[in-house]
Amino acid sequence: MDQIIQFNNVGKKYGNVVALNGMSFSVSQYEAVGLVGNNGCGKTSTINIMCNLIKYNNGEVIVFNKKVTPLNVSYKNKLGILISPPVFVDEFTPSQYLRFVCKFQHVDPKEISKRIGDVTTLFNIVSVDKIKIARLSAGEKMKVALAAAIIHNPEVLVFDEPFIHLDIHTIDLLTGLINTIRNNKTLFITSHNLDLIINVCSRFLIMEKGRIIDNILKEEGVTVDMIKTRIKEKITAGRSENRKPDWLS
Amino acid sequence: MASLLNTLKFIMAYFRVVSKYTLFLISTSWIIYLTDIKGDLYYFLSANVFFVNLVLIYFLTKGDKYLEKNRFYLLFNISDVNRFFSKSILFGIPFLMHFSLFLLVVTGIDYLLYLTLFSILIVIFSGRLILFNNVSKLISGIYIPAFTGLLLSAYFVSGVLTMIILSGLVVLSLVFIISRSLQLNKND
Repeated sequence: MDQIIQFNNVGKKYGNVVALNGMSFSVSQYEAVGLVGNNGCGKTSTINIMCNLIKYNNGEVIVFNKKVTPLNVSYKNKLGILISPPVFVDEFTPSQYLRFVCKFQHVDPKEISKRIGDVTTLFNIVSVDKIKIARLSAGEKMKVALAAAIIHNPEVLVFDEPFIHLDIHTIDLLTGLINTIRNNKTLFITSHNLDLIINVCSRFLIMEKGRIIDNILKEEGVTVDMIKTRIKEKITAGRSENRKPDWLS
Repeated sequence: MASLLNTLKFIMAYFRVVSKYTLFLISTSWIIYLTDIKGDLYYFLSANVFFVNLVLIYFLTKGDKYLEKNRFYLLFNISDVNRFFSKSILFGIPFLMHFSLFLLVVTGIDYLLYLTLFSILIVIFSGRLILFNNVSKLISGIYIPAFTGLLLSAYFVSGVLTMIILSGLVVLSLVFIISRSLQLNKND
């Protein structure tokens, strides 16, 4: 199968802080890959580099067979990107915002109204035309961000923490949606919620200190609990037990 | 890459939402220059209106800074050049209105000096465009002072014909730079 995303020995530093340290992995077409790891291990940096939102310092990132450089941005229309924290134009209403997203993502102008109607109904986004995004709740904002990520029917879904702030109903809806479309889409997702990520992904990359330390495949005979235990073992290995402060009674 | 037209529509919608009253004020306050008030009050009012509008336009151009910071423009491939063009159209037209009326009607400068100052404005605008094309700061650094110096010296030592030829040259260079920018933009 074609490799859609390739990270070859990628390094990223923020000043003296190393975010990615020789990160290497690849994602094939129609694969659903979950990236898991502790806070600060470099998951968001990986997504941001993949989507050309930040520059990397060394190594090579190839997406759709083209090296990711500041000038190579054409591939981004093929991605459905949800970054963390999600990006909005706070002063717009959801429908205004989604309309411009459609225009920027080259959706057929005749289709725009239908698509906005479809995604807002799908995610049950209320007050589409009346309330500015700035005044929506965190969960509602997340729904708008998800709607914006899929509205142009992208080939690859790149989601950074898509489940946070969502209510149970929307989480079920999102996992159901991903499971429905995953045969025709490539999925790259990060999350701290192991149950949900195991539900939607077929392969798991475990990250620690800016690099991949394990690669787990969901295959026959491997149960969800086994995957979960293995992931937990890996990401908690070498961690000392956190002691409760004496004053906290 | 988001097209120039869509970027312009977005910039207009954005500024209409965030600062419609300021935009309205800027777009209409030039009427002050044409009022029939005589004496010092007229000059006082006009000068204030002009400078207040300059300041307002300057701050308005920075009004979308947070979209830059939250990476909205990066996420949707909205290029710096397209944003610059769009903002130039949105704010440039009312600015030119104020600039021209203030100089020609209020201060009553001669057309030659107006042409010189107008040409210098275009030189600065196109110099900024050169910078976007990543050519080099050096070229922009030479282009702006060289053309400005040429325009000023032409105004002080030469006649109308030289000035008109020079201003034409400036406009031509602007057209060239804009077409080059759009071409590069398209190739991206």
